[in-house]
Amino acid sequence: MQMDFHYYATFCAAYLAGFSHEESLEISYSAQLVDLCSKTFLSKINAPAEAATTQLQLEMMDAREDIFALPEITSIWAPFHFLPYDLNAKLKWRPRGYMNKYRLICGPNGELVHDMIEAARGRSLQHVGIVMHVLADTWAHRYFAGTPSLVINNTTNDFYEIRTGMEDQKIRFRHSPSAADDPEHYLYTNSVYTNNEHSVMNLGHGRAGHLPDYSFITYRYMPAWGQYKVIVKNNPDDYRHAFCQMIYAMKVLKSAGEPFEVNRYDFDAIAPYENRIHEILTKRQLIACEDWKAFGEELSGQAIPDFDRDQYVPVYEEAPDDQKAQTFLGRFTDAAMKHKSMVCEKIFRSGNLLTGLGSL
Amino acid sequence: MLCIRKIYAERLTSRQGYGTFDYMNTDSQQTSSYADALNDPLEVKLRRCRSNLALGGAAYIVFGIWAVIKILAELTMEPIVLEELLQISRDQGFGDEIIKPVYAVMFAIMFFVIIIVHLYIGFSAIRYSAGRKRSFFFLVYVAGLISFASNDIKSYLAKSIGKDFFTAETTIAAICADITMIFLLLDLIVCVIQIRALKKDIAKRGEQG
Repeated sequence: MQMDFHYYATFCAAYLAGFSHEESLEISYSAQLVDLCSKTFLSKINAPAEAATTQLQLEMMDAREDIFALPEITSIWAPFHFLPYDLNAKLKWRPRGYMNKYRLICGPNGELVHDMIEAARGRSLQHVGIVMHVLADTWAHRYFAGTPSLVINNTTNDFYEIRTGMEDQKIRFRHSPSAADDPEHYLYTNSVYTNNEHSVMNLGHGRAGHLPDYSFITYRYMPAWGQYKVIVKNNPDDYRHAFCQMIYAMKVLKSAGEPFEVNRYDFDAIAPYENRIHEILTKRQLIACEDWKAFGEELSGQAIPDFDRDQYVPVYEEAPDDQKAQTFLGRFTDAAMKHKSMVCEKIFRSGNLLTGLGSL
Repeated sequence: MLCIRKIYAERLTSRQGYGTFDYMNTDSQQTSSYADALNDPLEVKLRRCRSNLALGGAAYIVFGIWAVIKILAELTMEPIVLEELLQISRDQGFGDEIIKPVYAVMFAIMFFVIIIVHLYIGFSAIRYSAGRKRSFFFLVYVAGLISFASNDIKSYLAKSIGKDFFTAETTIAAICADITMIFLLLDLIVCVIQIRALKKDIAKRGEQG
């Protein structure tokens, strides 16, 4: 997902869940910061590198691809962007190495989603923002794994967009990161095919380009792990479910003890705005920041500032060491490390060493 | 290879045959119904067979290069074979200045024919897998090639009896390559038969449904 959903839509969901304008801003800021908090950013502000929640393209280009470096990549992408759906999935006639990667395939409403939300109970708003980011990404990034793997994340070249009232349109891919995607001509960018199993080109949804991050598109394709089955990915519907599940999750976190249940969504909360949200989700545009921002400002009646990654950096840098933890970024890094520990520990305890030897 | 991928790829997830399915409504129930239709066990099996056939076709094209290398290797590493051929023509009264160019042209034509046969069968398999070719007459050539390859193996075995270890080693390598090719050709036949059977079953079910 992109800034439109992680920042503005998360703000809207937090406000509809009952948080105040300022609290919603803290939550949505934290949700968006997950996509920007790299080791480079953290080293610049002298924050712990273990709190990295993403890797920049330049960092990934420098990353090694041997078995010792893979846990470093996987321990960032799997907990924050591709939360595994079923760590105990079973398949016949597959070796251990394959199953370790298969079990990291992301999907919504898994056991880890429940554990993650319960772990955020009683914690800071920054922690809530981080888990909202992860929750939303379980819908967008489903069917891909947060580890570099050709046999899991590769796809065939047959992507077709399904549009109402038209024949399915073949999507063409090119490998030009600088060129913008062109939905009108079904022309998108994806990562280059490489037959190296552990290449970073085979990390996450690179082979599908940014298709999972566009809310308007419904498409079908065949993943490498699917044993010749076709996936039909209905993004408008998935994004709607993600939005309603975020509202439900945040209401649960605000409540005094109601347990979080997977497969529950607060559709009633969006009932008055159903058409508006449907319009935003299905509008053919690469980024919907303006629409979500307008919706959020209508909800709260106050302006939503543009996202600024360095907004809280001066406060963090100027704070004495023993008070850094009380600053916004201090709470964010603390929450990131706790979340990463929790997820990596669960993955390790399931017998999977792809994220290393457990918690930090 | 890009051309091969393009021919094969476009039809792998084709929606032909889903005319009765209402794909115009993309709400989640329709989406999951549509996904269920696409992932019907027969459809999945058909895709697997098509993929095998296309891969086999591409592999057979590459095997054409091996076939040419094999003959060249035999002529160059065992010059006595070529020498015997040339001697036959010399005995007929032809000079080397006539024999050598003629043999060079003959071998060139032979290599060309070998490559053409491999390309024909390979591309026929790929086009058949993509649904762009209806006729499976190319399987007649496949059956013939299986027979030739089997005879080749018999002649390797006959030639290697009593030879030294080095010769036996190369013979074993050639036998392995030819066995692989036979397996590949058999797989092409099996895939085409399976594809035809699956398409009939799907069409029959479409009529009943």
